[in-house]
Amino acid sequence: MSWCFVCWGCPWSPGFPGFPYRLQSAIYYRQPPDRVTSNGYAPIMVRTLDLTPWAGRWVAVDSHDHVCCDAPTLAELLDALATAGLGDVEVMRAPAPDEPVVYGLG
Amino acid sequence: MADAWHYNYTDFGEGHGRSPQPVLRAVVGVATPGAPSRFAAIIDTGGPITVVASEVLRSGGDPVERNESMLLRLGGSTNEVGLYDLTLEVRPPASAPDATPIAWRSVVAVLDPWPHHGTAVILGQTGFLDTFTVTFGPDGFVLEPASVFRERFAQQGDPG
Repeated sequence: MSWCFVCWGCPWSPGFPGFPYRLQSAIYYRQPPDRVTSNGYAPIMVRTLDLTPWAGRWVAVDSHDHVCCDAPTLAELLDALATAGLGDVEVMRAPAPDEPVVYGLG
Repeated sequence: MADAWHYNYTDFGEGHGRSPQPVLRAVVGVATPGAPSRFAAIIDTGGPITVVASEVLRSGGDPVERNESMLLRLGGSTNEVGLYDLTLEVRPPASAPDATPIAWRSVVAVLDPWPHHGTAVILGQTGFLDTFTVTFGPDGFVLEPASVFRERFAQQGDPG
């Protein structure tokens, strides 16, 4: 993990002697003592979707997490699904690369 | 819902290259009863009410307009949104494919056009968290009936 040297001397920098231990600990280790993983979460317990090719589009994902239908708008996707009769699929929107991460309702 | 439904968090691929960790969302599959497809729905514990895109109403659920509205800030803008009574059902996780979906009817806010860059359903306090017990853990979350919380923490409410 690297740090910005511009602010290395800042009291809030992790390198500053007075940097709060708990926060420093959280940043460096990221691992509460009761966790069994080393990087903050157990990847095997996470459903990871690779929707990069459909960035910004609405997609229908099947039970194997494969995109089986996509459209630029939700309404168009639902129309396409009604026509195609693909059965049990899950509808979501693929995030675009430059979009900010939304907090809750945003 | 005889057993607790254990869901994994979902990584949609948001914020890749910027976030120090993957952005993990608590997502369940929600649909109007009998609909073949379901909507990925984010559980938003800070959200006061369940919000859906208008397209969700068109998929069924016997929507009934309440002729009421509320002001809601979503997607960076403030909107006056209509309130509807709507029946939704939550689909079981992939680990319990034979489980029966659980339906409930409640108030939802309907926003048109839908500005949220994510899912078409956001599950909030009214219309979801008042119906289910949701337990969040570091490696997943669990959905159970509302009665589970009351049984587990009977008479342990905040006296203040």
